[in-house]
Amino acid sequence: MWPIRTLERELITIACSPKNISFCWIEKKQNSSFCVRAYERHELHHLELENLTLFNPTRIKQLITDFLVKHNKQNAFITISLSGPGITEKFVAHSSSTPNRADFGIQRSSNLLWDYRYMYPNDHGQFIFYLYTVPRALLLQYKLLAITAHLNLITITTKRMALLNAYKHIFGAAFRRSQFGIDMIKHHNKIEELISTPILQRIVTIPPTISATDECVHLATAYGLFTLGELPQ
Amino acid sequence: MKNVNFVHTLSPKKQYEIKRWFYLSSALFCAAVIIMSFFLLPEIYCLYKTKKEIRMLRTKTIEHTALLKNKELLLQKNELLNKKTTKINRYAQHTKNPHPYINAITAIAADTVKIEQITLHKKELSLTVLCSSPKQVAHYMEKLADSKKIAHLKLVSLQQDNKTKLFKAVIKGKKV
Repeated sequence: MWPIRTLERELITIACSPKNISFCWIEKKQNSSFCVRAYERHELHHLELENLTLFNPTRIKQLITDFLVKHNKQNAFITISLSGPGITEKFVAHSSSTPNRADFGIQRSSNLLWDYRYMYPNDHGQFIFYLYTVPRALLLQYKLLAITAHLNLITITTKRMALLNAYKHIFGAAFRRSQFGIDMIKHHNKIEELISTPILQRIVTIPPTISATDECVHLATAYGLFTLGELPQ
Repeated sequence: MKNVNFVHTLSPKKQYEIKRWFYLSSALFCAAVIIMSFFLLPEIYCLYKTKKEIRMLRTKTIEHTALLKNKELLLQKNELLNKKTTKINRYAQHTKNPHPYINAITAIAADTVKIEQITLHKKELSLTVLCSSPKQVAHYMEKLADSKKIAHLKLVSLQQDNKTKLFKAVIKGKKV
């Protein structure tokens, strides 16, 4: 009806994986604390997102629209995280802290999007990098989904990146790469285990209707995505 | 740690900036339109009125030219008619005009006297009439003399027609 859609100062996070899809509406309070206002997780039993490919975009679109309409957040900003076999993620050790793209040995392809991020130095004097590759066709599917569902999409990232961001934000100014390295080595680079329920609850207020223990990883991902969104105050 | 974003979209900051720019531009545009209309509307209204007046005057002027042409034609006709009427009047008032004499002769004649011929040459008048008796001729001549249009009346001849038994009289006189 109105030619320009109104912008809301809200951010809705969507976490997609082949087994489930979760939606979360997190709100930042005046005292810089976070509060989960709404959270939903839907199990996907009919291969709707097999290999992260949108096999049933109608169902996915319906789930997204239902959540947005239910909470009247049709014009909110949307961030999406993807996790699953469709995306290749690796932690690669390198002797140099500033390697070239060619050093990773990934062939240049127009069908593939790849990049790396520096993580931490290890005990052997090497540097650990987070490497990801995503097929462009997969991203196109999500972009088309955002267009058809009229989503104000601002970010698509990986679940691990969202969790890394959540970890960084939990520590805030006290974040140190050396400590991060120690934690990662301790948990065998399983980022999902870095953030425990009590740590998350200390930062984010989770309503009692949501089982924080069961949904810890999803909520941490949502928190990570929320902090990635960078909504200006 | 640099963020990972697979899509290159406008950041919320940019979107808010665009939103602010849009609202500010719209407000400024509206304000400009209002201010401009405040100054321009009276001018536009004046222009509209003047144009309307010009249109009306133009239509009026078109009619005026036609009327002027018509007036000129009528004036020319009037002049011609005036010339003709003055000529006619002059002729009617002139002594050479035989009309008053003929008029007087025929008016006096009535039913008793039949006029056969009237000849007017300069001041001379010759009149041929038919009557049933010589008395009527005499009476007619008296009336002619009384009309003061003809003087010196003379009965030149008086003859009776054997077939019709009518008296044919030839009267001569002079115009007054």
